[in-house]
Amino acid sequence: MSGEQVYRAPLHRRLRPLYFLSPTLLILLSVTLFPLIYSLYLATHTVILTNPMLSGWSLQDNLREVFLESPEYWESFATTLILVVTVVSIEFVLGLMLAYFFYNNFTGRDFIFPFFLMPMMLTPVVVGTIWRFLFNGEFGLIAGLLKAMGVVNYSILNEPSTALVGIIIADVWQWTPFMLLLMLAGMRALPTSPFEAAQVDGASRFQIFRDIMLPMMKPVIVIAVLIRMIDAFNRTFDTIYIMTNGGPGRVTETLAVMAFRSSFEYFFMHQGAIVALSMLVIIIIMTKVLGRFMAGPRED
Amino acid sequence: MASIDIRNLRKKFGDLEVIPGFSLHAEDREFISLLGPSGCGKSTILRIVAGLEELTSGDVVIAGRNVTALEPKDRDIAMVFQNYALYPHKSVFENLAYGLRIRKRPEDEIRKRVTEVSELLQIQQLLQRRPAQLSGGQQQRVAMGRAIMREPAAFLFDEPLSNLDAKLRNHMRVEIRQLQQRLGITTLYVTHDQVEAMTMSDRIVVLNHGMIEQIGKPLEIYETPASIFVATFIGSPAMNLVRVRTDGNALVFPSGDRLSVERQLQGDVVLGIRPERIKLSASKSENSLPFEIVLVEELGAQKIIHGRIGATEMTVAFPEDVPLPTNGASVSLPGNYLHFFDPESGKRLA
Repeated sequence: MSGEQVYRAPLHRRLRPLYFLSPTLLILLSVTLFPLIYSLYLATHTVILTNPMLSGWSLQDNLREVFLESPEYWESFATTLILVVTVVSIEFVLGLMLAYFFYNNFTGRDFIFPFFLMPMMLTPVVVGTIWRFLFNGEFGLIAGLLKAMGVVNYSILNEPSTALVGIIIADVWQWTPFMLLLMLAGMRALPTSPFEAAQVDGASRFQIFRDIMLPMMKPVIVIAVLIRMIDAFNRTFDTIYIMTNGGPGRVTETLAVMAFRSSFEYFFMHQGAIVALSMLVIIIIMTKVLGRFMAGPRED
Repeated sequence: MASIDIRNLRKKFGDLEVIPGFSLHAEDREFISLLGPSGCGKSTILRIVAGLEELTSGDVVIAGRNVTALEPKDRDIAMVFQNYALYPHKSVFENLAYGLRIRKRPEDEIRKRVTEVSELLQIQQLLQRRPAQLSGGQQQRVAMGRAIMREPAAFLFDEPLSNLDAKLRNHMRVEIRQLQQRLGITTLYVTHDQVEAMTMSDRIVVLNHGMIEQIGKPLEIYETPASIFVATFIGSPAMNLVRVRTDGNALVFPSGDRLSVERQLQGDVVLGIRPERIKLSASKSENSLPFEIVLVEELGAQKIIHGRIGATEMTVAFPEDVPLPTNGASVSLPGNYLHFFDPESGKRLA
């Protein structure tokens, strides 16, 4: 604080970056900030498209309606939780095993590897359609196999107790490759000499995998699982919409599907907005956790 | 009693034969360096002995036991890697203990052994740290500690000092050698640093393109290099080599200067002499050659003088405390320090 003159650029120079950024900012604000503000408006007012006469501020009523008066929100919350935890666990274990399989050298590896990634390349709508057909009780491949065993017109998507299993299978099929890719990239990035040292130390292949490789992969695993959780939480919509549209009843209605159906099937826009905003809050929390793992140097 | 025998080892990577045939016998307690430039196959040989690399043909026998077909863990060896290869997520204690934990040794035995080893290497105060919290020299010590935990039949070192700075390297050189002597464990040590090989080894194996150029005690290799390759690889500054014509008992330099020698040689030969064996003086004496000084490098303990005999460049190492002749220097090349090599094969002429 010796009173030295600090150079400050003239105002027009300091404003210049803003000038160049303005087109991008405008677009970003109109497609992200505006919808967010509008959904806040929807959530705090009564907006029912089939009854435009109702209007006005009703935040407390809306919250009570969604969170307290009916169990639907919490049922969907539980469905979402079960779905996310199940698919991410299965995808993690399968992805890790496949990654270890592809980590080792064998003939034909580079040839078959792309086939394992293909499900990931498909749009979720296509994946949903494929699995809906496969599970179809009348002409589906799986029903055909069941028919051969004497079970007629059975589809797991039609049974309330098993419909979610069908969704889980489709999701695991589509997104395990993503886990595989992240895990394999993580494995390949590891130095190999600690594995060799462990080999000399007397460790078996399994011991090396469990005691050395897996702990060394911890940062990758945490990030992959979190990314996949955020994604599964938030985007498992298209597949469900195509396969079951939340049914039978509401057993496969996740929060994402509920937000959609509230808004665009029942036209209770305020309900849909509240569900969507509650998802936003959860995602922000998950992203914060992810950010903590991704940011900065780790201690060890 | 743990000798190491490598018999007719051959190694191909695809069609590329990197080791066309390598045999070596290391006596119990012997410290042998495999010395050569990068790509000469020295690390490959070491990794084959460790069992980390498959061999194409040949045998590896450790302590009288043929281990060629055995896994690394069954060979009773320990290895120290160039980048230390510590387990990054384990504490120093667990790094040391892992080999014994795998073998399901009782906890108190593990503790006792870790204590012994860490005291031997003076790393007791580091046991709770992670590798990332250690300096290079400390990591090096932990890597050695891990190697001696199991009291193996043989040590394998793969360029263990090349990641350390020069000062620490000199220090660790002495430490490794002392440790090896104290423990009496047969050691194969891979390096590209001739100083390491010279100072630490009982014997040195000089390798080039997967072939043995020479095996011998450090001084043998220094005094009687078997080929031009060995002559230039060992010793710093490198040996002077001049292609000269012979004329009876005289060597004729490209400049026309003549030097009479006691040996009878035929045709062209490559004359070699180490910079530190050349005598530099102001006065011209019989059988000395005129020497033009071009550049002087001051090293403190000595001067390295670059100069010319006619057009032939020559390096002379000169003691620091003797004043340099100012003009009209001449060099004499003592006959008993001259080396002669065949210009075609590069082999030493007997």
